[in-house]
Amino acid sequence: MTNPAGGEPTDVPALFHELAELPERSPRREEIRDRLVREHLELARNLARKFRNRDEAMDDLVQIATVGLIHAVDRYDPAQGTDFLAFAVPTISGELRHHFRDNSWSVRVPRRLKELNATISAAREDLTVRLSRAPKPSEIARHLDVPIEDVYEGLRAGQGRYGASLDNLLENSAHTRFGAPDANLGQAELREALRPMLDSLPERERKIVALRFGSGMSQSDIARRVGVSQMQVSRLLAATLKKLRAGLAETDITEGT
Amino acid sequence: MEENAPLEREDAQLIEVRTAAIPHVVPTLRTIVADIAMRQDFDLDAVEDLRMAVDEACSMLLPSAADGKLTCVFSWIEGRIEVTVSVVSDRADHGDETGLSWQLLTALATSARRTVTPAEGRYLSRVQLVRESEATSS
Repeated sequence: MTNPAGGEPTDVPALFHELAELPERSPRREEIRDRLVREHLELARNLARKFRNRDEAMDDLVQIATVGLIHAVDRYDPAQGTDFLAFAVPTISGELRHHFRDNSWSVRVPRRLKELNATISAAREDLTVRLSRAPKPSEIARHLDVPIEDVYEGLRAGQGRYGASLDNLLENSAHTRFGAPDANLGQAELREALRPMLDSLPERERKIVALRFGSGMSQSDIARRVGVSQMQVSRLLAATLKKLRAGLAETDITEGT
Repeated sequence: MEENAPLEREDAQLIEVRTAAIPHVVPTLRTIVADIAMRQDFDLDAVEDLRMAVDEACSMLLPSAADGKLTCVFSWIEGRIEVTVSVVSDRADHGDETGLSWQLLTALATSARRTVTPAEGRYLSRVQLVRESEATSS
């Protein structure tokens, strides 16, 4: 709505001042609020980046930080005398922190278990480095000096951290093969190798090969189509294939011939 | 399940689960194996591997379950866990062993076996996998 980047530099204190003066229902309020939020989006993004970890999508964090920013704009009172930034930074960080405290587990797990899980994760990393392999639950228990049952519980709780969609389950099942080599890949290679040889064939032979293997016609059909006997088609095909095979042997991809 | 002949040893512990052959039971089955492995003090990577291996074994067999049932037997003994997943199938074909599932399974388990045996006019199609705890106790 209002100017994003460029245009006249935004006088943030003045805008807040104007906002504070405006009557409750004024449409201009919306406009100023919008402008102030946009003005500080980069700040929200920067703060979100600070909270970035490998588990959380950056987009989500930016969105949360932006919500925090909107709260900051709404709650800021210039009459308090503090700078907007001084107010906005803790507000946005607070919003991000709340998110991590409350929402980063997709299944609700008691806080004690969350903490236990965090300790176990840290111990797991420590021990993996020390042992040069993944630790056993007993080793984690010894390392943390907690009962082994607690380690079991904490590990199990960790499964609730990321929910998996039911669709995910089906997608990952064996029936859909991801990354399998295309069954026709070898064929494609051969075809490429064959192409120049086919081009060098006499017209009639090329046509017969194309009809037989390209269109999948029977020898009798081809005979009728080309106007020769089936026997002749058979002979021509055999001779042509022999020629092609010999040619392929030279190019060294003879598998499956 | 006389056919399922899991670990030969008498003193092995055993859990047998009979369930519908639907994808939704797979998370439960892999949670069971993870819990067993954890309690057997397998290292955490092995726990993850077993979880995935059960996943793969189930997804290999689920499509061929002719009577809509799946049986999963977990048995374990000191440092060794064996899982046998079986379904009754109409076809005797082994499925292809070059498939991704099988490749993964053999990578994740210490050993894996795929068998199809005739049973009452149908076929008992099975995947057996064994995982041994590699980590020496410290």
